[in-house]
Amino acid sequence: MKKYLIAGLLFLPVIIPAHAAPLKVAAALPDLGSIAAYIGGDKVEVFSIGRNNGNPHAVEVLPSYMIKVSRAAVYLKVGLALDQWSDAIIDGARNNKLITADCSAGITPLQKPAGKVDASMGDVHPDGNPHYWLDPANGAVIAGNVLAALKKADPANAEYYELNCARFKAELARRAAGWKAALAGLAGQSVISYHSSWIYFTTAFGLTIAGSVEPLPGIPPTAKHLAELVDIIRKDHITMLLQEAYFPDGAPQFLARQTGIMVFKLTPSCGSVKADSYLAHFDEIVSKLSGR
Amino acid sequence: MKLSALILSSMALLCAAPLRAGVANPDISVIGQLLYKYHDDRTAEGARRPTLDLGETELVFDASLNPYAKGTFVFTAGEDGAGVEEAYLDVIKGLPDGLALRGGKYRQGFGKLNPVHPHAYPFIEAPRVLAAMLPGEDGFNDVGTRVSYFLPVGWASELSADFLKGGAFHPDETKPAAGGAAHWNNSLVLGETVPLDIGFSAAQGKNSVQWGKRTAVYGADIKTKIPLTNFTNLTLQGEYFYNHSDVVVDTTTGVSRRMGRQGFYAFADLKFAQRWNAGVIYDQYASAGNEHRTDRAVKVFAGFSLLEETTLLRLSAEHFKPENSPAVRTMMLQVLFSMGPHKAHQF
Repeated sequence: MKKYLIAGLLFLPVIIPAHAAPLKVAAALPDLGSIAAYIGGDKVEVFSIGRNNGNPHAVEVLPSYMIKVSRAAVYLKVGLALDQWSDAIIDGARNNKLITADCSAGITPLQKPAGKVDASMGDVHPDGNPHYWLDPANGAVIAGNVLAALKKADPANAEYYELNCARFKAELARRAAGWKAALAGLAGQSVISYHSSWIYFTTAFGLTIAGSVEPLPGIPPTAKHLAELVDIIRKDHITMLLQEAYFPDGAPQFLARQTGIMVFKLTPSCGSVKADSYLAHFDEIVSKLSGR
Repeated sequence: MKLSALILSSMALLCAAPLRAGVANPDISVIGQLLYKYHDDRTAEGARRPTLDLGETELVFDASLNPYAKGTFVFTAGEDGAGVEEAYLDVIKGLPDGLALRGGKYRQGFGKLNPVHPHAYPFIEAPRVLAAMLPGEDGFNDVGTRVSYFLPVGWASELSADFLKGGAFHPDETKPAAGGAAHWNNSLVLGETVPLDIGFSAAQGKNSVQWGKRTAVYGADIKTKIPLTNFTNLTLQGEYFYNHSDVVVDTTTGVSRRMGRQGFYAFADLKFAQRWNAGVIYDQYASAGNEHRTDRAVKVFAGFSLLEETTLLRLSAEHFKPENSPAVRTMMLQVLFSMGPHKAHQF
């Protein structure tokens, strides 16, 4: 009897399936990671390479990122040439099984330049402005891309992911209606942005960008350009300046002193890869802008 | 001269060739490095008068060769001539997970500075200890094959081994004698935001093929970058070297003597504004010709990114004190200008 018991214990791990380890998902930015966490639920473990307080154009590639991605099943890229650093991480990860999803697939890019693009135009992205996650409608497109990648990596849980994706889209639509209502009073107004991160957000909520602190994308402001902005702000009675938190305060504060414009220091990305973080980030931006 | 013509004609062909389905031109980058220099070393050319030098112009081609491999070519051209600085292929997929292969001519992964092209340093020139301790005339750069592997441990750890032609150890001899190098890098992230790399390196080869004399170099390196605000940070980096060589003292009989030398550098680089950095670097080492002589250099440096990363200005002032010799002071101003795609910043 004792012999049978020992034999039974030895075979126990084979008979009882082990609890499946969560699928490791790497996201280039926390926004993509947050959506993946919502859809993946307890079946995924998400981490983000980029952080919300850093410039997403210039993420430094650490060897530790490559090792983490070498152990991941899915990598979520921003695309539209924003995260070229993702390619260095993916190549360095040497992960044959990694499923890479370009989350910009299916997005209609804004500010896509016509004709030849070169450095005289600043840091222009030839395929269009890459900050697309700041339009809630694009959040649903990202969700579709994330869903496809998760299903491919883990077909056994496809139904679970589909269900969560549908829940995410429904929640996004419900809250987007609230954000639109909260910002309805600002529709038609012009704002100044620091970098060109906000075009999707302003377009989605009916605002217009009248000028940027950077004379061209990625190019620091000159005194002449700031003087021109002062004129624009005064002439058009512009009251809001949207500044990415990772840019210096000097130029926005100068404009504030000269014109009285209110500077809103915001992060274009959400703070974490928690499931509600992407949606909560819109809550925060909308609350700041509407409650001024 | 022939090589320059070859490079230009290759570029012309690449630009003129019509694209076939699925085949695209490689990424092409060109980096110019204009250098103004003033020094008071009376034993060297150009003492006490400012000189302007075009420096080395670097031409880089890189692209995927197929779904599994990438190729890179780095050509340099300057007043001393043109040459192939690096030409290698990396196999990054298709091998067992965590394994990678590199083959060709490339800068060896010995320590932190040697694998990096000098234009990517935060200062103008490499600390003198590198040239004094490592094989090779312009950095430790050799033809070989590298195998690297991510170790299955709880932190980011990579071990790489290079099987080398060995020419960097004996640049004046044509007869080959194989060499080797190895590097073990460990990357940690402290408190989620502070990366810390600690590495160990070793290399060995023959400094005299004719007499079978060997050089072995051992090194340890450490680097961290501490974020201060969203766009300012402090980089601290240092490397230690120990060079152990059997040096031929009589070329007719091959009589040699054993020489053990050590040296190090350490620098701090403060990025104190979005486009500004400044720092100080100190290096000290036993001279290549005399292990009992210690040479020391201290250098302050500053950099300004004019617009984005395509135009950089760098300034440095160095006080170099060879033991038992007068000090040499050097001032340099470098203008770096580059065109081509922006590559990811490597830590």
